[in-house]
Amino acid sequence: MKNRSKESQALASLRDQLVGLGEDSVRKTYYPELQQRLEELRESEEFLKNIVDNIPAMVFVKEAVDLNYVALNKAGEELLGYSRAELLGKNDRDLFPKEQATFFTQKDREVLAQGQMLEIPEELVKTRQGDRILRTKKIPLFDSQGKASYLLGIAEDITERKRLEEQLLQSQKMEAVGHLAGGVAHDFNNILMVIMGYGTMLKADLTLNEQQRHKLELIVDAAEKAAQLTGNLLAFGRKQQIKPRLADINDIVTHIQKFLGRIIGEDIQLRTITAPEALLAQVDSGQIEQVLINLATNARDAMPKGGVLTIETGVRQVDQPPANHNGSSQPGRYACIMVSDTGTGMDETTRNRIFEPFFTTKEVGKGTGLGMSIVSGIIKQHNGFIEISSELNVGTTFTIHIPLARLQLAVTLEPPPPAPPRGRGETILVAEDDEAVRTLVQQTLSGYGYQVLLATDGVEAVATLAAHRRQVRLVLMDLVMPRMNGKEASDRMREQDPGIRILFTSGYTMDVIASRDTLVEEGQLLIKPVPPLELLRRVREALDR
Amino acid sequence: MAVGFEIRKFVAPEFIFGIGSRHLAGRYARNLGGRKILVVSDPGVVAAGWTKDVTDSLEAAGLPYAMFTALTPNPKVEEIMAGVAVYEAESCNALIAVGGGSPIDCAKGIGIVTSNHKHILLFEGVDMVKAPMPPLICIPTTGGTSADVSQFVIISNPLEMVKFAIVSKSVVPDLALIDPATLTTMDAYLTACTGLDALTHAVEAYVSIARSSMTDLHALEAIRLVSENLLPSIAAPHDLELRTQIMQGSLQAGLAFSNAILGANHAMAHSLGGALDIAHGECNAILLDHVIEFNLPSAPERFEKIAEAMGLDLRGRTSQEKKKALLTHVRELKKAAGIVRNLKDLGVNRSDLTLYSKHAMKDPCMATNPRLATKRDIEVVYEESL
Repeated sequence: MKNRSKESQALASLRDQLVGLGEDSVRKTYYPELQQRLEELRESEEFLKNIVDNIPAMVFVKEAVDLNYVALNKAGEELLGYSRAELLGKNDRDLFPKEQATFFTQKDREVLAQGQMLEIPEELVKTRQGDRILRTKKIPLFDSQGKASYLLGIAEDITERKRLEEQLLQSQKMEAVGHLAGGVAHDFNNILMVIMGYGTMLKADLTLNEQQRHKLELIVDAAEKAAQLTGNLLAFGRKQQIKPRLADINDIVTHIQKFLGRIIGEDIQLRTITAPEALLAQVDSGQIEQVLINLATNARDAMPKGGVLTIETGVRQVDQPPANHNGSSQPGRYACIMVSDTGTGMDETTRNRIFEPFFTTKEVGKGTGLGMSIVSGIIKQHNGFIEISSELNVGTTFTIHIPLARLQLAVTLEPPPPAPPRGRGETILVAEDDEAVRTLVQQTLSGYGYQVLLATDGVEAVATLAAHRRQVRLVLMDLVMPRMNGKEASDRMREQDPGIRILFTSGYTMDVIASRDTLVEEGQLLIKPVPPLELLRRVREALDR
Repeated sequence: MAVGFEIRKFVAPEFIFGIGSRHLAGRYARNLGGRKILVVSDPGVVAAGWTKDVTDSLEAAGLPYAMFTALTPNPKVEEIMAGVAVYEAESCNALIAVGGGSPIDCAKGIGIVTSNHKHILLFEGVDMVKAPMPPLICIPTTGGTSADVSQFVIISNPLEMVKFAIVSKSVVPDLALIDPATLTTMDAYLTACTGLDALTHAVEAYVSIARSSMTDLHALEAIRLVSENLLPSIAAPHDLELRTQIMQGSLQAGLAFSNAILGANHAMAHSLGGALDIAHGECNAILLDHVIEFNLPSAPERFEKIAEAMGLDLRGRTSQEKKKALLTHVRELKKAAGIVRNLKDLGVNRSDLTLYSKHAMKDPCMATNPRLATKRDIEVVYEESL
């Protein structure tokens, strides 16, 4: 019974279906599928748009006939400063300067004609947002017939990267020039040491007449100036050690202003405005004076018809160092020295290149092109930075920023140098490869009561010490010598006599020596050129230690 | 139960009836969105020249096309899958069938598979076609099949030796171009087979338990038209007036059975056709009077109306006389039309009847037969037809 009713139910249901009354019975209709496909298409479009919009590079599409834009992503809107609504349907002629539009169009046509991707590694594009450097790839899009009917472009903004690259290149250049300058300065120092040494010795010669003495003074003066120049070269190459002490920037400015007055001459009026509070900072006063002298010299040359040079000091809180500053800096409180002139001002090119070594706007022979790079080097060594503002025919202001010292401590004055001490017949072994320097040192030491043994290189020095171990009280040795350098020789000597006192001389400064792996304690090193008085004082100190 | 009060659906395709309508194929293929057309036909129809008329009209409309004619009567599963491969390889997006039931059912099968991406065997049954097929235009060239307007697809599965039916409103074509001129190349035998097939459609639809007033109108008119014009049409094959009457009868029989469904006659013919690859029309014709005899007690008044539509005057006769008159008329019509073979002559063995009956019982057409039949009942009818 049950089975039969089940059967008849199935039969009834089949009949219903046959006459078209089943639940799924429908005349042919594409509508549900169409709806579904449209929905999927919309989702897929949204998905793709989302991907394209989130690519961190400008993506655009142009049609091949008139090269009108048909698509642009979000990064493109941001880069060009145009909204899609503004840009779509337009072409490059509507958007960019003529010359640029012509270049773009030419490249587009090339890509479409050749059917191949083209890369433009660097192009400067003038946008509403300013000049940007772009790396662009242009790619032909083919239709089903193989015709290039659209052009796809992907452009990456490399402006920032280029700026960093240039900065790196510049610092590498500076580094190379610094090495060169340091090397040259070293050789000059040896020569200058001889000139200055003999000059000083001659000055003590009472047989010279007045005229001769005057000429001699001119020679020694010239040598001193030359020594200053090599010092500058080292400062620029950041090879010169700075000796920072706590000092009041106001004091430095006050101290130097009389001297600056002489440099700038009578046609230029000097005005100095110092901050009421003390501006204590860890600085090498001599170096800061050098900076001010160099800036004043530049200001003078910028005001050939006279003007006003203003030096003003103050404090500034720096939260974010300016992007284009020169030097390294951290947020914090800075002491400022503003050096302003009312001169010719600088154009952008000059402003951008002013800290480059050997860059000068002065006539040949009037400037070395080192002054401003020394300024930059010194301020960098003080962990400061420089800002420049300049307007043609109005004037220029350099603002030097130097970090203020955290603790306000009293300034201690340097004690005056004592009179040159004499020897007491002690024997000193002098090892020096440069004959002139060697002779100078020998004569200086002999003249002040010392016995001197000589050696021309490290090997000879070690042998000489071995032969006269009991006599020698001090070894005075050049660090850089042929056959065996000073450091190696000193190691051998200490093997023989662990207590031996050694004083090194070098034309290079500490960091050069450190980089050559010839580590020497700071107190044991004399930097050439060593004036005779300094030499005698340091020798005495070493012996009495 | 009063027929007029039941819910009934009536589905018919858009169709254009008339001499020369076949030439409109190109225009309509384009209107339906065709870009490349697969034309499905069979070698006989191609030889008769009707296929070329259609492809010429496609060319005139500027539409490219591909041909698929590698099919035999009673389309086979593999033939349909081969057609699908051609359709896809040629990137077609619309179908035109030119021919009798075989090309039309084949085209329907190709359409079903291409839009549903499954093997044709998986669509057996009712409402199993989910996604609509591509646009399909049918141009019938026989006056019997009515596949051009129906919701049926009958396919042979030679492996199982059965025919199976796909029934779905969604396989009703988009358009039928019904051109009586295409009947003029049928020989007497084919005219007889297809004509009696149409008559069987009309008779079964009229007595179907799923009939409606709408299907009744078409069924009775189809019976009248075919009975009156079949023999003259066989005698004068080129008489377009007679061919038009037969084509009209076939169309109306198709509209009737597609909506009212069929009965035991077709269920039994499908079963035999699957095993023996014999002409569907002849098979129906052989069974017709025997099935009428079996069904008559369930719907005597309906069969009386059928007899009247066939032109018999039954006034004042007894039921027994009426029955005898109807059966005699049908048998004489068959004989006069040249259908003189019985099932034995077609190669049917008595020993196979159990299997055929079993298959016939499973055919969906059986569901609307007016008399509830047992397997044994069907076997008896087969036996009588031997």
